[in-house]
Amino acid sequence: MKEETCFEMENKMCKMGWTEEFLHASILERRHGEIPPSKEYLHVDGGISPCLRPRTEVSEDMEDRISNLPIEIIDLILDYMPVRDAARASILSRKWRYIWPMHPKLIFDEHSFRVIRHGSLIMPDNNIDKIINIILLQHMGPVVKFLLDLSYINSAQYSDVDQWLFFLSRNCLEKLSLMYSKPKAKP
Amino acid sequence: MSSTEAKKMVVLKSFDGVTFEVEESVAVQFESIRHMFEDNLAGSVIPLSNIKSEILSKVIDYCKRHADDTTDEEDLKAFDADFVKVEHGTLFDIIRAANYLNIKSLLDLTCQTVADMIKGKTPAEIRELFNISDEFTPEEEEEASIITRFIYMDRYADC
Repeated sequence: MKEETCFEMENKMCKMGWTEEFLHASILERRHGEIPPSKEYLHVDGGISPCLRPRTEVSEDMEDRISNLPIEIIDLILDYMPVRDAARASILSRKWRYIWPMHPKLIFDEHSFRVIRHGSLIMPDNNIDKIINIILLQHMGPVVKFLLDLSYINSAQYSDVDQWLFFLSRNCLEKLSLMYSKPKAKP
Repeated sequence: MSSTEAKKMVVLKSFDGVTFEVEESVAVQFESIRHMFEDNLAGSVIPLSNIKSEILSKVIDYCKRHADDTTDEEDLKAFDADFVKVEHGTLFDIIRAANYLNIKSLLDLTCQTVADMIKGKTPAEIRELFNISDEFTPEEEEEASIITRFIYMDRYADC
């Protein structure tokens, strides 16, 4: 991965279809979302409360309750699932497309890559480094928390890890965890 | 009401005008409105203008159970598991209420529930489950499928 400035990254994202305007609006909204609900929502009387305000556009289908949840709640839901499921949510609809790339916590551990599908357990990929590269390249905005279990990374790829840490150091990282747990033997 | 000593009560009023009298020891779990009854406003009605009575009563039930020190952990787990067995609409209303009232344990429980529903499903299955309309343009669809193929290394080519 070539070294790039934030500006170049942003330009690249714009070319990928994420408009600068949207990027800024979303980042602002996220910062805004950090205000605790106690202060923000408490004195709203009647009508639609700010937490009912859709994030980007009004969905005509009122049945879609999940997409209209406040962004901080969707982030919380994404926190509770492995990175694979969370990333896959970005192709649910146009609105969801931007939620995952802006998710401020990235956890790559034993549970992140394992998926149970139709009752059978899918074991971690051998190319996790490639996946992390793609996820970081797609990421927009701060990565506040980053956890990586190095036992799933081939030691030949450690130069990539250096690059990730460098990338993270410029993206508002507050909590970094690197761990090493022996992977379980494959059946 | 208690026969020996009157417990301090807090009165909450739902969006549809129903009032609930709750013991202060239960209501302290409502982090975001805690200051209102702790600042000597006891006795006055606290309006919760965006929570329906049906949802508020469920949330109060949850907090009552969790405020009760006599309940053992296993019972509480069973109660929680049962508590989230509701319709999607109700579940999302509870999530919003928990967020509004800032009840962390309830928010964690309900968000975990939704995450478990999504885990391991294909996008098509998730869209169907939550009535999410796929409003992608053909270009976006194309781009999304490229990204997915990348992320999943062709494992979910069917997505």
